[in-house]
Order: sequence, then structure tokens, then C-alpha cells
Amino acid sequence: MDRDEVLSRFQTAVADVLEAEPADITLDKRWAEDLDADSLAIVECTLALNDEFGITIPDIEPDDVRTVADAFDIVMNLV
Amino acid sequence: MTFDRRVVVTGMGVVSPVGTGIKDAWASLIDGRSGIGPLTHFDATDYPVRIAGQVDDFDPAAIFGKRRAKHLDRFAQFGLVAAAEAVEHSGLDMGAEDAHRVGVVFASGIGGMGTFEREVRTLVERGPEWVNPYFCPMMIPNMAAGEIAMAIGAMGHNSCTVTACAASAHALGEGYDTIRLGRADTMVCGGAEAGLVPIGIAGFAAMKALSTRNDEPERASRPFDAGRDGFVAAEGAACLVLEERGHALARGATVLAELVGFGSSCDAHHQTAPHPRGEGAVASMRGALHEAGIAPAEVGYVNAHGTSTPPNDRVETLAVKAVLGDGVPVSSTKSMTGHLLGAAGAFEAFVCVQVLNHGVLPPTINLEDPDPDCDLDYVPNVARDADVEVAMTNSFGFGGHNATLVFRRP
Repeated sequence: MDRDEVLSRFQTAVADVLEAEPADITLDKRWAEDLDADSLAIVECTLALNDEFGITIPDIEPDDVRTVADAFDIVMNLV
Repeated sequence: MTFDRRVVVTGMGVVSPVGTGIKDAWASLIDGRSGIGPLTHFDATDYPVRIAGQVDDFDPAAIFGKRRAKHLDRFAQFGLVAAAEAVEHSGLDMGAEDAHRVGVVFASGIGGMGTFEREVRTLVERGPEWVNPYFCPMMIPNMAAGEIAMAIGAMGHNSCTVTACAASAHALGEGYDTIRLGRADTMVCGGAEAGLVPIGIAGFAAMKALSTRNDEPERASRPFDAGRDGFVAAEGAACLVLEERGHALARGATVLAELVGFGSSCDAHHQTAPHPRGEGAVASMRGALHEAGIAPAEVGYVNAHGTSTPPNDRVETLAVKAVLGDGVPVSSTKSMTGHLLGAAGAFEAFVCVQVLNHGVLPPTINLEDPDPDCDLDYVPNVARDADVEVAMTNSFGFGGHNATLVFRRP
């Protein structure tokens, strides 16, 4: 799958969970500080991404996914 | 043991089928307006019960924002709105308070049943890995208490009473005790319920506890009437700010009423049926009066539990007569609101405080053909002026829980 297409669908899925605009879900954003996403919100995003791409994101430590880019890399490797 | 700390009510808030906000709700009750209508929260076509007391003028996304609203079960949303109104009404300025001396006891009979049902569906239909991470925090019945504390910054005693339809009367009782014991100066107390979901309606309907007068929703809740056939399930929340009297006076608060007695007992008889002679209810009322140091003849109004189920209304009538005689006016506002379950006790405490302040008794509507076993003065159908010094409210819950609160005009 094309990286831009994955990113677009990634942004839409995450924005839907966080009630934000897809354009706001940029790779440089930090989950906690910039997106106000705590550990439960990150799990909720994980479920939405699993659903969107038909993947199973493995258990992740919050410290390993500080930014949107960290999470996007995981998704990109699975699709 | 005696206590020298007195407890007063300084603020109130409600979310109910007869109105959101104490002004609207009270106006509806005095006008005798029913809040019961067709059950539209889900497609109830195949359900034996298709009526309820819904809160329809409530937009969670507008109140909380979409993201936060999504993570609060409806019962907690109702609780937060009622508590916000009550705290504002009380004029309490948290910036001027010691946060550790302000507490919350907020009840629910059931908690987040809608969330529970939705996520069990997810579990069954999709599997455990798809269950929402917010399921537990949204569903637990104590989360309204936790959320209210977060909203106002109350770091004192915090808990949740879960005694079915007596739950929020017990919440007020626990708040009252907390202040009298000196553990807090201010307690934000009440209850919330939002069980108008398929499993809730199906469950109560399976017990044959609900009215099936589906074609006449506004006439379905008819406490003490010979034609009553069960209660009407409703949703909402109610909250009272309780305060140590000296604390309230020192900050110049308006004192709405004094909470002077709390009675609590158990039937120890049956899961759902009341004791046939109402012994638990009698003990609860007597306990509250004893604590208040008030003679039965001084009680000028009783807001009955009055569910509109055949056994409750008959037995409560017996119990009221045993304790207070047959002269006291008694009304059931559930005739208009339906049964707010875990929010009922606090809502009806609000009614008692309004009666003391406004000198009007809300009626029992739909009382057209009184049951011969129900032979008290139920303020039938039309509100009545009455100068009331002392008002009592009863709440009884499945499990045999009974709670009685007695309020006095300040």
C-alpha cells in the first residue's frame, strides 16, 4: 500500500478517535503533550487502526510511541 | 451519641424527564405535567414495555465536547450536569475552600449499563481484543462521584452508595453523617441513573415490575390508583450541596433547608418484595424522626417512594399510617417523573426542599380511582398550597434497603 494512502487513512482513523481534524494528526505530534492522548486513548487508537487496516498491532509500551511517527512506523510495517 | 454539627442544604441541581434545571423541573411538578412518553432511545417495537421517562433535551457533545462525552457514560454525564448546577446554586467558591474538607457521595443504582451492554456486544460479536479500553472506567457506578470530584476539585471523602432505588437517599445520608462526624464541611451528594437501554428495560420487564400501559404513557405512572400496573423507568440525576451550618452561614450562603434526620433500615425479607407489614419502612421513618427529635405530628408533607407498583404503594401506605397517622399529606412525584431509580431519592429530597421554600405540595397525578388499600391524602392531581415546616421523603430499594430523610425549614 502506498505510504501516502496509509498516512491518510491513519490520520482519519486517529482523528476519529480523538475527535480532531485529520490534518492535525501530523507525524511530529506527541501523543500526550500535543494530542492529549493518555494510555487509554492510545489503546483506543490502536483498536481503530487494527480495524482500519485489518492488522494486529502488538502490545506496545507507551514510552516506545511518544510521537505519531512512532506509531505510524509500526502500522507501516504491518500493512 | 449526639452531634453538635448541623447540616444544611445550600444548593440543588436536577436533570430529569420533567425538566433539566431545578426551575423547569419544579414548574412541571407544580403544573402536574408528566414527563413520561414513548421510549425512543432504541427500537422498542418488540419489547413489552415501550414507554419511559426520558431526558430528551440533553446534548452531551455540546456540554462536554465530543471527545470527553464519548468517555463518560450517560449516567455520569447527568451527574456532572446536576452537580454543576447544585454547586453554582450554592455559591460555593472552591478557590476559597480547603479542598480536603469538600467531599462527594454520588450514587447510582446500576452505573453505566449502556456502556456495559455495548461492550458485551463487542465482546460477543468481535472478541475480547476489541473491547474498548474505557469500558471499565465508564461502567463502574462510582465514576460519577469520581468525575464530580475532578470537576470541582473536591479532595475530601468520596464514595458511592449502590442500594438500588434507595441509593441517592443513602448518598445524602452518608454525606450528612460525614459532616456531622466532622470529616468534611461540605458534601456534594446525589445520584444518577441512565438505564433506559435494551437490557435494562428487558430486565425490569421480565420481573413484571414495569407498567405496560404503552398506549397512554402520561397515564402509566399512577401511584396509589387502583389501576396501577407497575413503575415507569426513568433516567436523570439530582444533586444537593450539604454543608455544616456554621460554614454555610460564615460564607453568607443562602440556607434552603436543614437536613435533620436520616433513617436507614433493611427489610431482611425478600430480594424485591417489600415486607408485608412494612416493618423496614416503619423502622426507617421512625429512625429518621428520632434522630431529628421531631414528633410525628410535626411532619407536614411526605414525598412517598410511591412507585406505582401494586405492592409498594399498599405497604408504604400501611407504614406511613403506622408512623405518622392518616392526616399527613403524601404525594408521589414519580407519577410525573417515573422512577429515577438510583437518582430518585435525591430528586425527591429536592422536591421536599422546594416544598419547604415555596409552600406548595406537588400532586400525585393520575389518581383517578383510589385503591381502597391506599387511603391517605395523596394530594390527588392538583398541587396544593400548604405551609410546611417539616418534610420527609422515603426511598426503598431492591435488596430491602430503606432510607428516610427529614428536612426542616431553616
